[in-house]
This record gives sequence, C-alpha cells and structure tokens, in this order.
Amino acid sequence: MDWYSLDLVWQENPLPPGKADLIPVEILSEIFLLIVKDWSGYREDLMLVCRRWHAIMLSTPGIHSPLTIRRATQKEVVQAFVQGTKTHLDVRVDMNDETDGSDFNAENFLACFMAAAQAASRWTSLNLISPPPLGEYTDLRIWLPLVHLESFKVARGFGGFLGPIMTAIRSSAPPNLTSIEIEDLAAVLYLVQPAGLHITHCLTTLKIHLFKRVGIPVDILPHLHRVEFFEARNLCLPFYPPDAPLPLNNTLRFLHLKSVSVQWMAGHVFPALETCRITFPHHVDTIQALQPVTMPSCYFLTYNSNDLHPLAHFYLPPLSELEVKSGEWNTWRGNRQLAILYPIVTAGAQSLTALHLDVNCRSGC
Amino acid sequence: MIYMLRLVPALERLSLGIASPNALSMAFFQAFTVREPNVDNAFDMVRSLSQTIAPSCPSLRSLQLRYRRWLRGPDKKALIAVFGDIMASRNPKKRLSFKLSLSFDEAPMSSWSIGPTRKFLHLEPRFFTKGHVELMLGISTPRGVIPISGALPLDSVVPLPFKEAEYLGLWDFSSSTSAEFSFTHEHMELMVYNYVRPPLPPSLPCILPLFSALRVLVMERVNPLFLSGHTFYKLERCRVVKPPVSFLPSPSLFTETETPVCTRVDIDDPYLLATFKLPQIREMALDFSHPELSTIWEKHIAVNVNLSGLTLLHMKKWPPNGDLIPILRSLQFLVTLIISSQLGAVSFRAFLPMDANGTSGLKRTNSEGQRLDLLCPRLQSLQIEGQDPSLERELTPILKDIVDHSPCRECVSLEGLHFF
Repeated sequence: MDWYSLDLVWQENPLPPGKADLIPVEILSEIFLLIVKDWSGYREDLMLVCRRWHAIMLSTPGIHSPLTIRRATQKEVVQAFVQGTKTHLDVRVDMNDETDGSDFNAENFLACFMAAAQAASRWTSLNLISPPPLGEYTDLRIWLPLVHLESFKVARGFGGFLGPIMTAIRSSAPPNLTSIEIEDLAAVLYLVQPAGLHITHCLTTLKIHLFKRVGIPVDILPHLHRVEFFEARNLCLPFYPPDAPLPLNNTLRFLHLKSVSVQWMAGHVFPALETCRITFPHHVDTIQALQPVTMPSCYFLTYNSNDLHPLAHFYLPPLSELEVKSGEWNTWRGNRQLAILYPIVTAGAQSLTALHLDVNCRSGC
Repeated sequence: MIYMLRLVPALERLSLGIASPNALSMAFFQAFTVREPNVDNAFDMVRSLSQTIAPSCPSLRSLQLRYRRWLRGPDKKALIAVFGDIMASRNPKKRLSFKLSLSFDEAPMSSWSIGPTRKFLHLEPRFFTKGHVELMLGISTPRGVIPISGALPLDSVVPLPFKEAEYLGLWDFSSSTSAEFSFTHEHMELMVYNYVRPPLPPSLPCILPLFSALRVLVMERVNPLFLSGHTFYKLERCRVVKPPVSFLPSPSLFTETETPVCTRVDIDDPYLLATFKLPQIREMALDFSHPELSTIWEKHIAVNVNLSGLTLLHMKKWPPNGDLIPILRSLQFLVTLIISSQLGAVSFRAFLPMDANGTSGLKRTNSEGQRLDLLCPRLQSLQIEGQDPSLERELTPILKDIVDHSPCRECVSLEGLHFF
C-alpha cells in the first residue's frame, strides 16, 4: 500500500486522539529529524504510527521522503504525493517489478516521471535502479533546477533515458552533488566532457562499476579534485606520465580497484589513504622499486592478484588488517609468493589483528 | 607460514584459503594449541603437543579455514582431531570466545563450526537460523568426540565433507523439511528442501558410508522418509521426533530399516517405528496418541521389535483412559515405565494383579485359590508425568492398591511411583 492509499484509509477510519497528540508539532518535528538523521530506516516506521505523525513527517522540510516510480505507479499518485509534501525527495526509478503483473506502459511511466520532475528542485537523491524497456525518451525534460541534489546513482541499461537526465544534472546541479555511483559507461563519459567537469571536480564519492571492460580510456582522474572514496571496476584508464597532476592522490581515503590499471599509482604518495583494496590490477609491473606506492596512513590492505611481487614495493605503515589472495596454482611458486608478505606481516607485529591469506602453499614454508 | 604467524602475537582473526587438506600439515595446526585443556577435556596427546610446540597467535579469537577441495576418500580423522584439540585447549572456560570454522569452495554459503573434543556428545541444536536446517555431526577420535555443526540453507544441495561421522543431528524449525542424502563417486551430498515441494523418491538402498558409521541419530521436525530401506549397522541410539505437520505417514511409505545393534529409540511416529527392525532394543519411547496405535503395535511393532528385551518404556501422550494391558502384556522384563499423560482409573488398573481373563483380582469378593498374574513383574519404577494433582485424590484408593499389592507378587517390589 502506498502513502496515498494509506492516507485515504486513515481519512475513512480516524482514530481517537491519544496523549501523544498533546506533544506540539514543532517538538515532534525536531525529534523526528534527530531520529531520521541517525537511523534513516526508521523513517517509514514513524510515518506508519498514526495520521498525525505521518503528516508531520511529510511536512518537516529536513526529512527526506522516498518516492519510487514502478511499473504499477500511477501519475495521480505521484502528483498527490508531490503536492502533499514539503520535504526533500529521494526519487527512485525501479522497473524491475514484473512479478506484480503490471505491464510496462511507456506513456504512464513518462507521465509519472514528469509529475515527479515538477518537484525536481526538492530532489536530494536520484537513484535509477532498473531501467524501463528500451524506448525513446526525447520528450523527457526536467525544467526545474536540481538545486538540492546530493547524490545520483544509475544502473546500466538506461540508454536513451540517460541523456535528458545527465543534461539536467550538468546544467543545474549544484556543488551539493558530491556522490555519484555509475554502472553505465555512457554516464561516465558525460562526466568527463567539458560541460560536466564542474560536477566531477566537486565529487567526494565516486563509484564506477562497469559490467565489462571496454577499451575506451576514460581520462577522469585529473578531474577528481576532492574525491575521498573512489571505487572502480572494469574501468579503462589512460597511461599517465609520472608528473601528471592527480589531485586525488592527496584526498583519497578509501580506494577500491578491480580490474583497473594501477599505473597511475606508481611512484606516488597517498598521504590520506586509509583503506585500499586492489583486485586483479592491470599494468601492475609499473610498480617497481624505483616507483613504489607509498601509503603512510593505510591500516587496511587487500591485494588479490596472481602475482604478489609488486606488494614488495608498497611502502606501508604497520597494518591492522591484511587480506592477500594469489591465484598461483603452483605450490612452489606459491611458497615464494608467501615470502613476499613476510616484511609486511612482521612490520605489523604489534598492530595486525586480522590476517586473511589465500595463497597456494605447503606447510613448512 | 607458522614462523611468520608467531611474529604477530596481536592477531585476533586469521583466515586461510587452503588448496586441500594435505596442503598444511597437522604439525602446522598443532601449533595453535596454546595450553593444556581443562580437566573435562584433558587429553594426553594435547598435553604433549603443547609442551613440544610453542603456541602461535595467543590472542586469536577466530580461525577460519576455507578449503578449495576436500577429501573424496575416507575421512581424515587425525586432522579433525587436531581441530578438536585446538578448540579444547583455547580458553576452555570461555569457549565462545574462540571460534574455529571450516568452509568449502563447493558450498561457499555453508560454514562448519568445530567444537572442542568431548568425552560425550549430546546432540542439540546451537541456535535457530531462519530458512536453514541445523545440522550437527560428531566424529569419534581416540581422545573423544568432536562436534561439527552448521546451518544448511533450505532448498539447497550441500556437500557433506564428513562421510563417516558417528553422530548426526538434524533440526528444523519450519516443520516442513525433508532431507535426502546422495553418494556418488565418494562424494556425499545432503539436500534439504521444503516439504511443500514434491518429495524426491527415497534414497536408493545403496550403502552410504555415513549410514554405516552412524552410532547416534537425532532428528527433529525433519521428514524421516530418507531412513527407510537402509541398514544402520552401528546405530545404537535413534531419536526421531516431531515429524513435520505436513508429513502424513502410512505403512506404504516405508520399507524396513535394519538396526541390528540399536538399544535405544525415541520415535514419535508409530508407523516409522514399525518399520525398524530392533532385535537388541532395551529402551524405547513412543507417541501413543495415534488412533491406530493398538493395531500398529500388535501387527507391526510387536513383530519387528524384540519387546521381550525391553527394560524401559516411555509412553508419550498416552490416552487418559486407554487400556494399558495389551501393551504391557508383552513386556515381561520391563523395569522402568514412564507415562507422559493424565492417567485415569482404567489405565491404572493395569498395574493391579489380575486373573487369566485380564480381570483385576481385587474386584473379586473371593479370590481364594485364584492365581493372580501381575503385568510387568519386574517393574521397579513407574513414573507418571503431567498428572493433574486434583485427580490424584480421586485416584488415591487405586494407587494405594497398586503400592500395597505389587510387592507381594513375584517378590519384586515397586520401588518408585513418582508423579511429575
């Protein structure tokens, strides 16, 4: 049951007032704000307590309200919801709900989205979870500026739907937009075009999880001026010269690379990097004795590769958690790879509390 | 590797990915035995190991071993024994603070927790996990029994890496689970699935190493159909209780199950018990609430079960005024009888002396010259559980008769008449 239907039920079956109704609206709003700030999962629970609490939740500007557009969603419901609330909106598009028997209606979907776009200036997050069936969405327009947009997530497969969205984000998104998670290469390419660089410069969180590796180099690293959390999977990066200015080297705190080149890390210092996960790195031979990777603040390292030798050129402080996996199938070579870990492990003699080893070796090594 | 691990004394969690059980030797694992176990778990072998090898990772709280491959041949009990010793030796007074778990690449979703070596293993579920079936195995070693427990996800096929366990416990909390074992090319798998799905045909009567090795079997709320037709050569104790509510037993479902050395059974379903060949039975518990129990008892149980050897019978859910005489008549060597029921006067009369016609001799005004037989002449303990105290007053006269008259026959005294 959606909020619109629930409200109708409550209007038809009002409950007698209780003692909780004596608490002023302003105080409840403050309480709800504090709760939702720390435990956003309680938002829906609070709204379901009674009509009054439901109304207060919807009228408190600091509390975000979720608005999900599915196959079965009707335009009237979206319109009523948008007009009935003053709060910021967390908008989600999730078309993966065939199980409820609703067929996709492109016209209805477009109408729902446009109804939600009437409150685009109140959107704080836009999460495109699963795409509508392929189609033309040239009529799609977001007229209002996305002045409160803070986070944007897009799964793969949104195709023609993506263009108007990215255009709206590029043209009106404010510096508040600091978190982007992308599974579609086309969306990544939007970010590195000159018109989108002002967004890229402001990001503090960037996650690019591509389904498969495409040989199109994406020159995005020089434009990440403030990024602290960077995850990339199957992303093709260009070769960067040793003296290339990469501002993210100084700001990175969390790094997770999977099937991504690590050439850009060779010879650099990452003073703020605390957590580093590297899985199946590409161009790993660029990390050498003369071009080590220095991470003086790192306490958690995951390294998963067939060849552990580059780990010898990671300058690390005493770690608290180390996770190493090697795909080497030969026991003799596995034993030799294990020896590479010896200096790292012994350096963390007093600090290492968790060790995960998956190296093909034999005891006695 | 062990040398490297000795240099990290602060290590609390260690996870090792291992190619096979042969990759890391027993000496490697023995190094994790930190000190002598407590009195309950003291084993000489462990003591000698702890004296000869300096302990590794004294702060360790979790040791996870993930094997890419496990053994297809006979179980490597010596390695399991070392795992049990590690558990027994690590902080024995607070065993929960240290955990040793095994997982296998073949079944990444399931993990097995090793328990400390014990002299005796009491099979009981660890905790409830929604959507899972609790399983506990026990592997006997010269130093005791090592419990291995895990939670198997429903509707899945999970490899059972320990093929020759002597103890098996299966518990479900959804009351609708069936289980099926398969054994192909030295590889054993267990499938647990919801009973609402069409049941698989029962296991072919092949020789499963697990069934041949089992000494103790406990199942609760799991469909027992998979037991049917197998021979459990070493099974000594068997408990199959609370069959799923959707399980509708009938004689046609079962074929005979051979248990040549089993001495103790606790089986709720009389149809299931009827298919068990129990030549060595000594102690038995059965749910007597089945409407056709008397027929099943006479036609099947009395035939397949060697009732003359029974010394203890626990009658669960006995009908309040059911007639005990047909049941007790065949139990000449019964020593202890436990009845979980609110017995009525009719049931109690079975304990009074009676004549050849089954009529209580105490009713006769003149019993002179009559030889009155006593059912269960060796009965020494009668325990009645769940009796309503208010009814005891009404039953006092007949209870007095039982206590007064029972000792005078065959010189066997009824030592205990207990109400619980």
